[in-house]
Amino acid sequence: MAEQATPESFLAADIGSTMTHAVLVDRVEGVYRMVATAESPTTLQAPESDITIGLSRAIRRLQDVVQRPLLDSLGQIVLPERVSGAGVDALVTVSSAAPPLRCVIVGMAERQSVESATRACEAASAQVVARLPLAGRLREWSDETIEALVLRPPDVIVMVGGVDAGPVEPLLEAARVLAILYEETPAERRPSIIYAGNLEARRPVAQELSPVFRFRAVENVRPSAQVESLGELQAELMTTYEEVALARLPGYPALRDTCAAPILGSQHALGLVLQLLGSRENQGVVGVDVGGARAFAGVARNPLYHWASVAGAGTGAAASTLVERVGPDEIGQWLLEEMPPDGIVDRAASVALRPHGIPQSFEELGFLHALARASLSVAVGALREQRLGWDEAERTSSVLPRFDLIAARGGVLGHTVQDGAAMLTCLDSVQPVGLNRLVIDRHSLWPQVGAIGQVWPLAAVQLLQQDALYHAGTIIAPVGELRHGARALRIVVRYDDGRTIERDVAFGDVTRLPLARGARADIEVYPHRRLDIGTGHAGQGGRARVPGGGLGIVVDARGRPLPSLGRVEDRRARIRQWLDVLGCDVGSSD
Amino acid sequence: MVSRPRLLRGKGHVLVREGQPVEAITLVARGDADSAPRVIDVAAGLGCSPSQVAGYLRVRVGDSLAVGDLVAERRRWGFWRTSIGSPFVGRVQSISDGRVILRETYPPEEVLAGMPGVVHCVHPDRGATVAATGAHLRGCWGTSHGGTGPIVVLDGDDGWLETAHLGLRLRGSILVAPRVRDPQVVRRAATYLVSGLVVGSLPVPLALLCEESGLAVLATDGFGGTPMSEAIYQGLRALEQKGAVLFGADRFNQAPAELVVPLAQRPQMALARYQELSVGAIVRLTAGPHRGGIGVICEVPEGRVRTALGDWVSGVYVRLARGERVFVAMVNLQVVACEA
Repeated sequence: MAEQATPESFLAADIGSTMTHAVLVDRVEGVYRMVATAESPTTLQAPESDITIGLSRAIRRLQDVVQRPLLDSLGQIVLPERVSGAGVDALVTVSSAAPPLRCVIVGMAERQSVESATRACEAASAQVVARLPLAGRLREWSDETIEALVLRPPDVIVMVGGVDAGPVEPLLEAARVLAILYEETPAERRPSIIYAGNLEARRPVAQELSPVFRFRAVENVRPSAQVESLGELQAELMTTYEEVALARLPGYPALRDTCAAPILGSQHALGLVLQLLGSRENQGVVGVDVGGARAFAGVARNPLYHWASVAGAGTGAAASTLVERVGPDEIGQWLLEEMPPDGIVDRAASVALRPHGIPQSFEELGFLHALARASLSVAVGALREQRLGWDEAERTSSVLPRFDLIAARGGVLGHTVQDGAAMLTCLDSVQPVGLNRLVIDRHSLWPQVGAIGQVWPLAAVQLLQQDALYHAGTIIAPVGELRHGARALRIVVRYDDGRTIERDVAFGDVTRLPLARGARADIEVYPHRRLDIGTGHAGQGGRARVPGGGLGIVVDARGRPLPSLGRVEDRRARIRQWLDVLGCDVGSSD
Repeated sequence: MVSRPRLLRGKGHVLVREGQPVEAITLVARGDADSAPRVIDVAAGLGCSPSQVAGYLRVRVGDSLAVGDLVAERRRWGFWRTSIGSPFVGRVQSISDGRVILRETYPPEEVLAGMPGVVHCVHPDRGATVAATGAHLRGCWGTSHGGTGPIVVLDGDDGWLETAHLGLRLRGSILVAPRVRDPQVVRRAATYLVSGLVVGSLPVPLALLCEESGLAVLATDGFGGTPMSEAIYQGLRALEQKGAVLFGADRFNQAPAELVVPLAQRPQMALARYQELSVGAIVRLTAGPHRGGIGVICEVPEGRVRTALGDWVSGVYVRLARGERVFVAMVNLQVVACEA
């Protein structure tokens, strides 16, 4: 998108399924800076049923904080900024408030292309509600299937099948059938069709379907038996989400007319930020986002970017679905207090009922972080399944490859003032290896920055440099396994003021060494001969100059992949100890 | 004044006008007739190839058919006959490849007013909001089923509703109990044709059972074993034997389950939804260590307050029933009652 005239000030909003975040950006001494942020529950449901109401409430809070009029007497945003300082020059919005796309996959009887399409849909936050075989043609589709297709039309039908240069007729027959089925369905209820099958069938299928449906054709998900290509289908699903699902949000037309740029999906916008961050790092960045309704993980390593977004794996409105997906034991293993499986199910359902609530005790915070661990593990697992652009060693490894930066965001992580809790959740779920840094989106800013970058790139870069990244700390995490308590590594930290700290870290421990935010230090690490600190060779030491953060330098010597946490009593004691090392006051409650 | 939107799932015709008095059974809106294609595999039914089917068909595209109308017939040697009748009411949409695609027509969706009152406003093509004077309780969860009947308040043992409390005398009633956990209670309530159940909370598996068994259920506090807050419980006790309507959760239109008790005049204690938080309001704590507790707002501090977890949040100080004064984040409380 072409760069528009740069504004002096603007509002950027992220309308999530649970909360609406608004940020005021203004030029301070020639540099775009975040002035303030505010949030308010998203108003998707009755009685408000209008997303602009929640946005207005968030902006009103912002207005109270900055003591600057941003809304007029009718509650509309004052555009452009007045000489008096009232209002702003523009509004930019991203959103993930719409439910996931309901998707039906129509594919050849062979499994590969359907499996690939399923992976693409799941990674693109689309919910696969049915998979229909092509080979059997219409007479093989049951009445229930046809009734479901027509009476409860999906948002999208993804057609796949055959390698390039494969047979055309089955796909064409399916296209004819779909055209007949939806012939009498009102246009606004017809699904979109994305064709990601055999290249030869693309033109005839398009001729059959494009007069009836919103039709898009993308690269075959299986151009050959050995090659899988999901990127274009994922991207098209994201576009469809923005054009179809977001457009259905109550209040969308009015909001769209107020915005200076098209409303992007939050994950699309987040991806733009990750790519920007990844372009500055040698080993790239892995980004994770714990949403209320979905979980996201993305990898940006120049020039590649790929991602997975799993619907129904969030920690808010989707908490129940998440527990159903992973099982209550997966959540229970991270809790500090005994909670029976039924209690976990009930608690998750209660969280889903009131996703706007914020924790006021460590017990509640602990529950949310247990959900977040499961949520992120699901997203990282979906990302790992893709393994796109990874070398052979990375493909076969049971852990993620090494990245320079872990970029984490989402209500649970961003709202947690206790850095240690957010750090441990990321360590447990992402399981970074080698030398990394953890940055957190404390102000829920990144998707907005991505959207801003589409129209005012300079503003996006300046925001990212100045305000958007909260540095939680540098992480050192060796790969491998030793006997619990054995010396895993020795770390030497040489500070710029001449001080030196030398520490032995035992296997199974998490240790923290001080290094303030904004400061840097030289470190030397000497691992055990069976542990690899990210050099690719076990036992090989290394030196680096590293930045500090809220937690300084964190050594996670629990090994990779993270071993089982053992018996319940030991497990709780260990989690408590790790949190304690990371500066969390686990005993506090309001 | 309490109100409830009564909306179709799709588009249709609104049959009432603004200001019109309505009864519970007044038809508010009727949807457009819906239809779905049904496939009749004539070739398979007659035991012939698709190319032979045309000679045996007795219908043409556009024909309207009733159940049993002849679709195709094959005679062999003049007397042995195989025929296919229409299994649905519908219209022939297309004929191809040995198959007849019949468009089955469904009866249109209808929405009733559900309670006596007046039409507050009309939603074009969708329905209307019906308003009445009375008491109103919005549930935080409910099944999709509705019911009507007099309110009967049951005390339960330690707040738990047990099967022993249920009997045929409760048929057609809307039962109020602090909490429930026994699946047998749900089954028995459904068997005895109880009209509805209003509880504080219930376990998730029981909620699924309620939905499956067609029982109208509204939970005021959520899932688990939290009892109904005393303020709501006593409020409902004051309405005992009054006729009430339990509206099921309309997930399609995102309307929650609600209990409406039409009354000739406003109740003394109004159950509030969107009351400004002010000193004296009775609130329910929905999170935190005192979750489920009821208290009275005793102070609304200026600006944000730091919680024990270190967050700076907007909130109020609440005096709990046993005298304890606690800070509660704004998003963690719900106004349950205020002076009407």
